[in-house]
Amino acid sequence: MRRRNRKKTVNATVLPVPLAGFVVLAASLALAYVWMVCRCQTLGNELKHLEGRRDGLLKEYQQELSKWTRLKAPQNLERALLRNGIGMTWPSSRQVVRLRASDVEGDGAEVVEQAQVASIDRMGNTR
Amino acid sequence: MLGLGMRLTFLHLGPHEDELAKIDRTRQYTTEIPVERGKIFDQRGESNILALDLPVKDVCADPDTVVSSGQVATVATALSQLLDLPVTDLAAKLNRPGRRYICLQRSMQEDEAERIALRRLPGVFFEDKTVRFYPHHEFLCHVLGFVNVEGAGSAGVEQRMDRYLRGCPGFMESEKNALREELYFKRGRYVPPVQGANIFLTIDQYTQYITEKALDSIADGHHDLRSDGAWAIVQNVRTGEILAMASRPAFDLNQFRDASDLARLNRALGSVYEPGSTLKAITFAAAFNERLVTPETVIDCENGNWTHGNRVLHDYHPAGRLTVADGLKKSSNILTAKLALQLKDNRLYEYMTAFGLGRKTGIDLPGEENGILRPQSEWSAISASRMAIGQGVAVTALQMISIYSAIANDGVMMRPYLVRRVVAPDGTLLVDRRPEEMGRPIRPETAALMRRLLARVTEPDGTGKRAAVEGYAVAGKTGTAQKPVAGGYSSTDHIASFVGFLPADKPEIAIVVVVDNPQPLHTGGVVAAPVFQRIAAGTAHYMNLPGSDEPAVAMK
Repeated sequence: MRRRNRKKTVNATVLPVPLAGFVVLAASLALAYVWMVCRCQTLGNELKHLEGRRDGLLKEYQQELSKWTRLKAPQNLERALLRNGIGMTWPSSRQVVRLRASDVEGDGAEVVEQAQVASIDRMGNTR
Repeated sequence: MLGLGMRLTFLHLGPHEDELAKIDRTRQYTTEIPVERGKIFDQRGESNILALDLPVKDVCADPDTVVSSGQVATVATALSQLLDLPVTDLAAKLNRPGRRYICLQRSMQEDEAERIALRRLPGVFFEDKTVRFYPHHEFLCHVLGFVNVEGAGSAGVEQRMDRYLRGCPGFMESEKNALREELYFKRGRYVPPVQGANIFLTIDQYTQYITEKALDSIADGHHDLRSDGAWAIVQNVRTGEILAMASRPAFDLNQFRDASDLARLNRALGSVYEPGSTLKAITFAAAFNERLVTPETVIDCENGNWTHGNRVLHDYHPAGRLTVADGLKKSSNILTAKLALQLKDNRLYEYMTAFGLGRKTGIDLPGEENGILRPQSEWSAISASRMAIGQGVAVTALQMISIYSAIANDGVMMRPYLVRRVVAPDGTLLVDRRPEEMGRPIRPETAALMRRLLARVTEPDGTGKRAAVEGYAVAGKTGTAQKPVAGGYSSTDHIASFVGFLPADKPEIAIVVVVDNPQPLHTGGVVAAPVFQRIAAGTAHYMNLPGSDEPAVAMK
């Protein structure tokens, strides 16, 4: 049997379990609070960043809208056609074949084909 | 140690309340969240934007920094190329030691500003802002109007629909850190902005383009032809919708401050003029509607000179006896005056008021004029004979087109309008405009008869032959009015106009063209009718209107 070493005996007050539990709980709550505050700040920064990005994208969208609407404006299209030497004129009435809905039977494919032929004939006649 | 201990204690206990309040005040701020003004579209909707808010940059400089860098000449030269400004002016502006701020160019588009930013010029920086932008500059300028520096609509649709377009700015209370950045988690009250509603016009962008192009080409074929101004309107006769409205001179909406008051005037509804022969349609319609005459009734036109009330009335095309139908075709003043005398003052006045003379049409644009129609009690013995031919009465082009649209629409006058819909950003329909009847001045049979007779005006021997459109029967009337001057009428200054509709047998659109003081040519048939023809031909093709001499081809 081993002898007990009296010199190593610790003579200290032991923290009562309820108090220890309270301290641990308080520390945990404090840590959780700090963590939540940090998390809030991080989320806030992220939101701020996203808000900035959204505003930037909205600006970009407005810019693109403006560019697009200018590009497809009639005056711009006409300038582009002229630049490329494409002269566009409206067809004369003799070059247009009009069909009434009542003239079409079935899916109308046959009539459309005939109309194209008739249209070519008419264009030929004008020359 | 004692001092340190005390400081530690104070810090531990926290600053004094006054101190805290002072710190809070430096951190806290309130700001208005800017709101986006609603967009304006044409009748085709989202794909055709006519006005929108656009983020732009002001190009600014810190002259002190530029001078310190010793690169005044380099910066001035570079900016001169990029901003298209004189290099000497720029150098003078930049070479000012001690000055910290100057604005070199306002409202530059972001991609253009980017090119300057890439040069990394010392002392040059940008300021972000949002402006109202009109992508097509002069296009549709008088209808759209503009927004002033305070952000309030000040003309045109921008003014009339301002309460829908402007929206409501938001509000925010928050705090900033030492870097002046917002602490999001400290954000207090936040009221989001309510975006402005979008406006959808009845204007068709392509029809408008055709109209403006035609007005710009008045001198085509007559190289020395010049005028003080010109304006035109295209209207859907069934609904009263305005498809195009243009006025010359025009101005760039993005530079509206540089435009003169004269250029800003929308003459289509803000300029009154004596209409001349175009107003004869009312007299003829009234005479037919009262069954006083038929188209075949023959009237003596006195070989072009007729004295009535001690005043001589002349015809441009003297004739002996003419049928009423031919009198309209030849635009006989004498025949029209005699019809007015048959009608008598009270009935002529009733028809003129029934056709809307002397009062606003009520279009949804600011700046509309009433025109001038004197009360019948103020008429003299010859007033009826002169007013019947369009003298002594003044109209706006909008009133004239409304009269002809009523004839085209079986005698039903429709109120002209420009705003078709107003839609909130969340899709809620705030305004949905429907066609509105203004009155029925003549019977449908009278209107049909007038359509047939007016169609003869554009026949090869009619006064309006230059308004004829291949494949379509065009009904209309020329007008050449001397401009009133003190004590009478000018012998040199005229108003030339043409107003009509097509297809004459089943009308869809009405068009009015007015040219102010054309020189050296001045008749409506020569000056205004060709412009009408260009607008009518382009619009008829574009709208795919059925041709009058073109029966549908049946193929089986």
